[in-house]
Amino acid sequence: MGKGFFWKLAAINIQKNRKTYFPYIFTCILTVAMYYMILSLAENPGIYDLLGGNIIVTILNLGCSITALFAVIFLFYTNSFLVKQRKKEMGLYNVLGMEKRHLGYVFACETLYVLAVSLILGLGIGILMDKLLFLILLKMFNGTVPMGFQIQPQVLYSTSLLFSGVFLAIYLGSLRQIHLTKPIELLYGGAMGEREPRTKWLSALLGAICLAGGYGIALTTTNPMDAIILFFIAVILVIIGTYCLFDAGSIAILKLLRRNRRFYYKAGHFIAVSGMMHRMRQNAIGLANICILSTMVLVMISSTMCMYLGSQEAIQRSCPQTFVVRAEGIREDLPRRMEAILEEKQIEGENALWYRYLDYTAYRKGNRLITDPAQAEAGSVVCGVIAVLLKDYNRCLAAQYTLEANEVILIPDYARYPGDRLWIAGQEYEIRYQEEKMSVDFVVREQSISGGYILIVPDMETLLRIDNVQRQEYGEEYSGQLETYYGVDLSLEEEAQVSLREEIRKALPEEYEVGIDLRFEEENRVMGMYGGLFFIGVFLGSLFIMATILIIYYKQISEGYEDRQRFEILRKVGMDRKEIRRTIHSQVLGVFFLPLLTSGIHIAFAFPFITRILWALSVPDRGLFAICTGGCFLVFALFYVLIYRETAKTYYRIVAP
Amino acid sequence: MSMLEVHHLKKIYTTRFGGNRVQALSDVNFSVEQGEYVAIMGESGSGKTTLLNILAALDKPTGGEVLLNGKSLTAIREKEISAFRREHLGFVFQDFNLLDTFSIQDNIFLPLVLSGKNYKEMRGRLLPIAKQLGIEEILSKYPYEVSGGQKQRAAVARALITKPELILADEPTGALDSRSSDSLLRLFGEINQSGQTILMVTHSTKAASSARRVLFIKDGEVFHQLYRADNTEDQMYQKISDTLTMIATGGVHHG
Repeated sequence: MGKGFFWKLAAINIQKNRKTYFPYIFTCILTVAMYYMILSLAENPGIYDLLGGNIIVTILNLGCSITALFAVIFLFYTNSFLVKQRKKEMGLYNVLGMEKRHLGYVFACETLYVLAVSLILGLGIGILMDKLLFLILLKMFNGTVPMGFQIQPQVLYSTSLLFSGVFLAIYLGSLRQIHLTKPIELLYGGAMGEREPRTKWLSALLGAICLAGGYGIALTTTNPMDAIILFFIAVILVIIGTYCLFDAGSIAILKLLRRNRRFYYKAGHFIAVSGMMHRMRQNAIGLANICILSTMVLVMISSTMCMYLGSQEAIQRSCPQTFVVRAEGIREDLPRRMEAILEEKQIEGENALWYRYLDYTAYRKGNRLITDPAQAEAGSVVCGVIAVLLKDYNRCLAAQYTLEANEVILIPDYARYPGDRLWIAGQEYEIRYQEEKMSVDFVVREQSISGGYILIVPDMETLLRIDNVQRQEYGEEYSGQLETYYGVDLSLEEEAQVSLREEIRKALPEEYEVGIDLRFEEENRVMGMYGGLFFIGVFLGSLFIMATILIIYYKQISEGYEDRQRFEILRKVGMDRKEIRRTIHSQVLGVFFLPLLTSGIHIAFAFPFITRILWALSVPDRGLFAICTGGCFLVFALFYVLIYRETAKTYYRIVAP
Repeated sequence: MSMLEVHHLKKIYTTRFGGNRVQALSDVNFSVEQGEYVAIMGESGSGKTTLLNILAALDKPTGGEVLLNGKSLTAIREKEISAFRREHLGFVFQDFNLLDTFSIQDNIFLPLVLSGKNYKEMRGRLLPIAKQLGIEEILSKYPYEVSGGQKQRAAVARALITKPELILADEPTGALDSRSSDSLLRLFGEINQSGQTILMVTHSTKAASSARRVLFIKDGEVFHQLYRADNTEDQMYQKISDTLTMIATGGVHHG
């Protein structure tokens, strides 16, 4: 046999199997393109000049590794599916006298075709899209757009190298599959005997417990210290629960349904229940994968999106003015000294604010703010407290509030309102003026998971007493600090701000231990991190969505070929086409929307938890997160429905020709 | 009036673009009386399967008509055809056509469930049939757990459970070993004895010789027919063999 023959046969094979091969090639092209884009962005020297360039590059590099890992696993998985589909065809060639060696040649040719097409088109698309993506990134970070259209040869090279490697692995994998099977098995490769699934009650129970545990943790955790660790525990529990429930739980439920004769022996239920049982046995793990993958995608995109959109507020809270000086202790001469320095440098400042405050953490239990950890058992929530002197508050607000010695003003900051009386540091206060929102932008450097309070105290004595109590009860290490704040809006160049900071550091007494925050630096840090995360979130999210869609599509197609015979029998036994169509739809619908529904439930339970974490990341806007999550879910569901319709159509064409 | 009447049945297949025309049935006429056991024989390509598909209302004839108890199959509307098939006809196929996703019992129940019968009635109908067919033991098993012979008995039970007027069997012994074949044919004899009308398509001489009457199809027409009358099965076997030889060597038409 001439070499040309194999090339020709390979081309014909791809053409003949286009229903399964074209989506595969399409995926390969997109994966190559996406890898090229992300690598090219990470290697792009222009990125370093962006705001927070360092953080973005780190995040992009992380994205690169994830994309590469994902590409390997995903393409390998898809291909093994293709090979399984084609076992019969290979068996036929084998029986017709082609040796396994020759089949190997054919596969090599096919793989090379796919590789060539994927690399050429993938890199082409990648190069075109790369520029667009770069522009989007620049837009996100308010960067200036450099002209030009650069192609980085080393990126082209590493992308080609990576995917050549992946395809080599894929080829070797297929070769192994061919060599392991005998011709007769190849012929019947598609149709293996179907076993009735055993009910794994234990596994189903374990799944239910894990899921309940995970949900429970997500709903009840309020302590910020535990939040991060508990979040991972909850995620792991939910993942285990999802696998167990999809695998064992679904079958247990279907069996219970089957046991109920009145329900089971109805035309619609009869075929649906048995069909689903059969299907779940084969697909439970795949569906659980899809469910977990889509949950992760949705959580990732919606939370990073929320962080990105909420970053302005985060910046505003941690850095209310463009130039912020914080000195340790009560330093009444800080404003005077600052004004003197600014005047000497002839720098005009606006909106100058100064106040003395105590920034500490308390446990709120009912209407008591506790600082003794021993007393704060179950039932208390952690909150941040910023106690400010009434005099300073009045000055900042240009107001004339007055307070009796046993009165305070309480401003809840994304926290619940405790009532009209408050116990602080062993003394009861009456809450005089409740305000809904912060009327002054006080600096909030650390967010607590359950929000916090701004507490306006009548006099210095009270402030010092509260400070004393919390200092005693927490001990030196964990207690909060009395500080003096001076913030001002300066319209200075960035470099001038940096040098001004140095001069102020030198000019102020050492015991002040000043911390100076510049708004533009904070902006760079927050936007660089949140923007970068959002970008990667969307990028990886679209990659995962593509994978999810393809997996489902392939599942349906491969089942279509298996189900064809079953529906033929049903037709012969006396089921009409309309009923068949309805049954098919209900089955495809079940397989399709079970993962989506489950991931929707997961997200709903994760919602309060993620809100708290976002809170801790200074993005306290719950409404914004709800909108982001809802929006992402809708967009995802829309994609899903489109794919569902396309798949159902293809499936029906296979099953009922 | 005969139970099943077939008049001038004609079927021409045309390829999708109307290029080639293949005449599967040219002019088939015969009738089946209530309680008869008829075998239809013919070589591959003689039109047997086409005939059976038309009788089963799975396919439409190009010309002629089929009357079941005086009712024309071609006149039944598409919407009702599945229900008609379920209620009036029973099927036994060469490859059993049992669904692997159902237990044997559920496979047998399938047509009744589709007709909306309740469990109690289904169970009531199943027990005597299962007893007659000797499959009581395997009802809760799955098709892949039982032998070919048992599968075919289950398929027969599925055909019988709707109390059809006519059972259509397509090569029922085709996938069975000789012992299972014998016992299945004996079963068909018994079912027929109890009054069930059976029409079987086969090219096994052995299977055909168990029938009361054998029709021979050649080139899309009924070429010849034999009545078993008082002949033993062996004598019938001999007669069928002779007829087949005659057909193969190009004998004359006997009518």
